[in-house]
Amino acid sequence: MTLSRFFKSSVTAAFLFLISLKPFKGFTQNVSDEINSIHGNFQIDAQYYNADSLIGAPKVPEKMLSNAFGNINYQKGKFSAGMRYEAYNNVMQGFDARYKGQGITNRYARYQDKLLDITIGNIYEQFGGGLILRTYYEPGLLYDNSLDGIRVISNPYKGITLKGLVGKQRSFFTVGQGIVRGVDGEVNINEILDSLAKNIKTKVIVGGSFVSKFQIDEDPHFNLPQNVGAYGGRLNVIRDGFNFFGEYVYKENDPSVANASSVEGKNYYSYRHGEAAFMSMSLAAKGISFMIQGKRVDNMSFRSDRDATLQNLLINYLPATTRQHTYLMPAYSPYATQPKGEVGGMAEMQYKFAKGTLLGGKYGMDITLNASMANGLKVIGVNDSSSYSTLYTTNYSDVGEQYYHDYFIEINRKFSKKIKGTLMYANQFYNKNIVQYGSPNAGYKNIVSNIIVVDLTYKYKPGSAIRFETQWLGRDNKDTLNLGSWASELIEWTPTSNIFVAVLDQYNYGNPVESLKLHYFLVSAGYTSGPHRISFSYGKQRAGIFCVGGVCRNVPASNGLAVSITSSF
Amino acid sequence: MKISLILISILVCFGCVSCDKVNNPIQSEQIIVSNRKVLLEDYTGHQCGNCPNAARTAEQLSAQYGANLVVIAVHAGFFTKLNAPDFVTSYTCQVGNDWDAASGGFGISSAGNPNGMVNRKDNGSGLIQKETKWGSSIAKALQAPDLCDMWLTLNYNTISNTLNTTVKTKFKKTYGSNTKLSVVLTEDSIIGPQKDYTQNPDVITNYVFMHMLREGINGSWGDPLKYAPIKYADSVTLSYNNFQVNAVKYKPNNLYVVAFVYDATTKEILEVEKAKVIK
Repeated sequence: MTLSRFFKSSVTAAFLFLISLKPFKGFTQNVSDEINSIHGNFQIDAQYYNADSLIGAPKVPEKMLSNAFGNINYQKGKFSAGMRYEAYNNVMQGFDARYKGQGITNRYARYQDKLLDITIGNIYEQFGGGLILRTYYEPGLLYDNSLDGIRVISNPYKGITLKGLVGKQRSFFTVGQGIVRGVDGEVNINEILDSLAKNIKTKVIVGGSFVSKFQIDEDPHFNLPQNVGAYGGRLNVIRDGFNFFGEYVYKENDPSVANASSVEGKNYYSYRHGEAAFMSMSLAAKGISFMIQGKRVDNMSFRSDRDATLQNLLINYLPATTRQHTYLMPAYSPYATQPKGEVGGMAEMQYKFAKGTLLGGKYGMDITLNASMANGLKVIGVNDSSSYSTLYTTNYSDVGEQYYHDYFIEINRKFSKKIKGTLMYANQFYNKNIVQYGSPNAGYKNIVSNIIVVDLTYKYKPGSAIRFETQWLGRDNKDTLNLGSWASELIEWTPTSNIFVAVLDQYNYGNPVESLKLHYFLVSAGYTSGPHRISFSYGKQRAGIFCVGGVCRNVPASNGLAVSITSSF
Repeated sequence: MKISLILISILVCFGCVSCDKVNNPIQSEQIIVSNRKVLLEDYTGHQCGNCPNAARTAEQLSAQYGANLVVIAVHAGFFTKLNAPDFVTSYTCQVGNDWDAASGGFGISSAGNPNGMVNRKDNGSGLIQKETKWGSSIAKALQAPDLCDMWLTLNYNTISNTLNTTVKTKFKKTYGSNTKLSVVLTEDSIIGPQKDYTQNPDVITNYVFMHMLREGINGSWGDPLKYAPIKYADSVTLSYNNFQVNAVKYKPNNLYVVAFVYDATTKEILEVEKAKVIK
């Protein structure tokens, strides 16, 4: 029975199960004494679409599309259970149409005491930093790679945590073909050496993991490994403001669509191993902090289905060692780790100029300096497509072409009791061929952007403010394959702490095509009351392309009215 | 504590043996003898730089399985858009757009290009399949029971450029669902620009498009063929006469008619046949 059928047939069972818990006060007099908690949240996003040929917004036959979900979690003592209902009628533009319809996509039951923690159902888990296994849910991206199976966590001795799990991953309204098995052990040395822990300031935590996936080999041309294993170790050292984390993962031969190559007009898988290393070190003292991160990734797309693409059925998580910006223009060209191969790093310094100093002024000033970059690996072709089919190799000492860099400075300063501001300058390099299209031959030029952000907030009374934001993104306006320079203006008024109204204009004044020098206006407003929030926006949003592993998906431009309602209890 | 250690030990043992090292990746060619014919739909676009790889896979499979495999290349979705100076000819058609649509169709391009379907059947990893999956899905489909026989009779008038198509079907097994028949026109050897990320520069100006879906002879979703219950030896013949072929847009010598029977509920393709318009 497929999981989707199970989900549908289990709706009634799940409903009866929750009702049987009697979570409502009116049921019996003493029910509330028995219940520890019942909590959850809902979110509904809907948009009415207008066709707009100028910005490329397509006609939507349904006119209105919506994504919605609700989580309900129940806990009583050592037992907890929950479920999530999702509904896509139909799924909003920019998301995969395989999210179609509605049903219970997540349900679990968990029992947890001092010795044992057992979960059955949909499991979210992370081993170490996630290089080998991380399952999580991100509703904004419709990302959910939860494992539907069983997980056991045990603390057999103080400071020792053992985890084991087995299951299949969620894929839209069903589960993927592959089975994922994993074990993880973590030892907190200080906790084991109880007497020493009191005297030694340095904390040391070591861990190791093994994850294996099984997928049947039905390929008529290749002998594919049905079981693919990956293993790794990690070390975490903490002392006062110093924190070091390092992790290394090795993956055995894992031929998949992500590492397939065309050799003399024929498509081959690579049977080469994969590996990933990540380290992060930070040092914080009063008023100043430093952080450096580095990673090297080689053939580390690890999925429970060797034919899965884009964001589907990923077992592991490869963190981007670049800053994820929140301002519009610095976030215009976001970077994502290239699982096929990448070496990258980031360094950041934050300094606080104290109050009363020349630069700190009356209220102090924060400054952040950040530099991050990512390059490809230098790939050396191996002519073995008819034998071992590794297809390529790499050297640790060599670095390939540049994929991305982001150098920025951000200054946050409070000028008076009522006025505060942020100033940012960023210089970014974006290899569009690789980052968007996954190929050096996609035909686009590299994009170099200079970005300035000025953000001023005037708090004219407690809970009431006006915020002005102006952003500029300068690029080569002659590059007809890209969209040239942009300017963005935002005015946001918060008359009370629970209401906001904002007007945003993104102006593509540098578009090399005269008729496409367009304004993208967006008006939005929102109201918050306790755990409930409703917001509206009306206007235009830009298009984009999203590519991973040799498959590209268009996120079309849109023009229309959007509504978002969130609520929690 | 004992219980947890036992449980963890079981999982450790289970995990530790779970790794295969393959030293001989290439299989010796297997020959599948089958009376069945299988339909492979390759959803593509002339601005999709990863799509020629999938087309090459389709050609390899076509060469391997010969008449047992019928390929249709469906140009639909974002990567079919027109951009001067290279991409000025549209290869989309209403049938392809309807099949590709997120609403009412299969939503292929919303899942990204290239992608495809084999007999419009989910073989365990989803209906929409990457080209690396096509080979195993075709092999599996060829070994499935043969439901019906199909005979295509074409009569093309070279003066009026009209086409008469007769499709005769005879069921070899009982079947419990309603069935439909779709008849479409495809064309080979169309030369035009195509993006190909394996090439530098990435635009191939004289790319040869094969199996391109051109038009529906009986609409996007065909006509009812036989309502359930279908019995052994049930036979149905449907004819489509005087279909006007656009001989300016298409080269009649390169045209084919592809007809397929499918389950009206699941849309799974049960049998497919292909014939050249001008022999």
